[in-house]
Amino acid sequence: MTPSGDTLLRVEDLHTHFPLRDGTVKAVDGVSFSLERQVTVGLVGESGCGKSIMAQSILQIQSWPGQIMAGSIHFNGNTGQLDLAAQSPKSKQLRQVRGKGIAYIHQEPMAALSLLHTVGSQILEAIHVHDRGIDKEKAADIAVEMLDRVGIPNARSRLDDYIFNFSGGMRQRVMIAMALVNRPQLLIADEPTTAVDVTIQAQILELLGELKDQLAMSVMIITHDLGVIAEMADEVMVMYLGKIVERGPVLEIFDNPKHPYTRALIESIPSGAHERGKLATVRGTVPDPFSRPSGCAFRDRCDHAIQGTCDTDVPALVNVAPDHEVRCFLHSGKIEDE
Amino acid sequence: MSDAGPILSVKDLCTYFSITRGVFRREVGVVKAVDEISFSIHKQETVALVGESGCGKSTTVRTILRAIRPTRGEIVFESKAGDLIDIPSVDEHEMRRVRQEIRMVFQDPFRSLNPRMTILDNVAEPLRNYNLGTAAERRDRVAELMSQVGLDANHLGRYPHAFSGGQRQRIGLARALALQPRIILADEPTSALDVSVQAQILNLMQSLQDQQEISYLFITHDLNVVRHFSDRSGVMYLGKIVEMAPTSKLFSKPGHPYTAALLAACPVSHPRLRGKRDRISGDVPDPANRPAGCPFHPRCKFAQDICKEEEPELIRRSSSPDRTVACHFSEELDLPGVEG
Repeated sequence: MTPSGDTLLRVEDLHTHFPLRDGTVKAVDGVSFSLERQVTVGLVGESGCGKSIMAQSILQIQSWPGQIMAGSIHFNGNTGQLDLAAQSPKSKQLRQVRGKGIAYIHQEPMAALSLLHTVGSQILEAIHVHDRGIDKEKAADIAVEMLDRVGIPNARSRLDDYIFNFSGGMRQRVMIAMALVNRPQLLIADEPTTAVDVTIQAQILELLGELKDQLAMSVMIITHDLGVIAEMADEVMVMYLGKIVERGPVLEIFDNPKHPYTRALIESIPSGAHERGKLATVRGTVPDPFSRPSGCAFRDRCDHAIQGTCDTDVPALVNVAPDHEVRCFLHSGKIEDE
Repeated sequence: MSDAGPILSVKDLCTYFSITRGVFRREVGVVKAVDEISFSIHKQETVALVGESGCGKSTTVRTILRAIRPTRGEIVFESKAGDLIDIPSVDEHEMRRVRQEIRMVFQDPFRSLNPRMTILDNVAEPLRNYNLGTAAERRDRVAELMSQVGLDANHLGRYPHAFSGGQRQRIGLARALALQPRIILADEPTSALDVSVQAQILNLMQSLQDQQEISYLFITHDLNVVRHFSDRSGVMYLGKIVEMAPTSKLFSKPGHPYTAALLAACPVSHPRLRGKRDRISGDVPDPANRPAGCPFHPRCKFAQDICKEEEPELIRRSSSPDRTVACHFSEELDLPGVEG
């Protein structure tokens, strides 16, 4: 699957907790995965499953009072190996990785970009942060080149525009350009197309795919939309209540989903296939983070829950095929007959 | 669907907003948010209006309830009693009756319920507005509605913040159902929800329709939802309906290049279906500055000279009489649909 084969990012047993007055929310509860170079991984789950917090924890930009309690995040960037989890959020090492090694784009460009500064000054700032000595002309050239690349017409003249002068699709392109000016090796895109229309979504996804190849980076795309995953991802990770419940290559996940939650997510996409028939649903809703069920967190909503097993023990992530892991008792110890 | 006439028919409806400037509010332009659209809804039918943001689909809904006065056009509603009511021209007293039978479900379940009112008060508010029943009767009715939408009737004393997005949308539906409406106008009712919860709400809306013979006008930008849910669909672009057809036909063989473009833009349902499709370039133009001729021509790859000059009318296709298309070349173009 990967041309180069070496690992860009390896997350091991990551725990990010939010100590709140009413108790501790374990937003990320033991996540391990590794990401190869030039691979697009899709991270799916319903709202509240911890997918954004997990991605933000990689750069330690999760909101207060979220804190990494345990685990390691080995990033194998241009500047050598670094355990991001061991750095303090304000450390120089981490700040060098942010934007340059790993870039993060938000869902809503209007909230993520300043309304009071021109697009040009914001992009130049991003360049300047990682290259203090660069002269203005040169930085502007880099900005223009990147804006060109993401498909902004007349890029040079648009440097002096403000973000509100751009249309929704163009704003998202500006965000992408800004994230890419420092040529990161990993781009984390958090719901990059949720706020835009479907024709714009198609354009943005296509653009991300092209840029990934041109700039030889890896992409982590966070979404609740399996359509985006089907369109973009090489690998898929399904998250539920802070844990990865299934992980595997995209074709394997769609052809052969193992976890009841993954299956339900796939079946609940409306399509012409079951016209006017009932859509499959997942019963109930994501449980309250303070009253998480014992055992398997999904058992309350699962049609296959086994009394005496799923409610007492937490299932481990096991291989059901090479590269395909699932966290479910239905599949533990069944490796040979798959 | 019944063989009787439509219960709501919209004809040549226009809603324009003027752009004013200066102290004297001099008119400097006009936004044709809804421009000469026509469609009808029959009993127990679901009609969807699809389009990108700014195409006028929400304005259409608001105009039907007269939250916005139309510039011109007809909106004829057949009440339960059998009267035909022309919504733009009736007085407020009559409009109150109309609003009893046409209810609305909103997009954002977090902002459409009053956070300071309990669920009982939220759902009973339409009943109170129309002075229906005593407090005890209203309470019983709300409890009944709650069980219809699949919520625990013991939670009536709770406030909206105690409910998840999907549950709130159920509460919104219960409130819309309280007055036993003929039509529910649903403005993107599932776009704020996760897909598994969206499926629950769509299933619920369908079973309510079957039980209570409700018609839906369903506004959405999600074509997968349309395909699953609606009987007939209209595709809107810059205030115009550019194509209207039974949903299955619209998907299997789109008649307008914009419909085809929307279908091509939809994410695939399986990674095996990935591949290069014809994407349309550019954004929706500014509605205040609409292109001359066919509004879609700057983004259309089939555009000819005539498209830049003459605006195509929405006409019935000779080949399929239940489909109307506004395109100069609709009879000639052979556009790809989606299989399945």
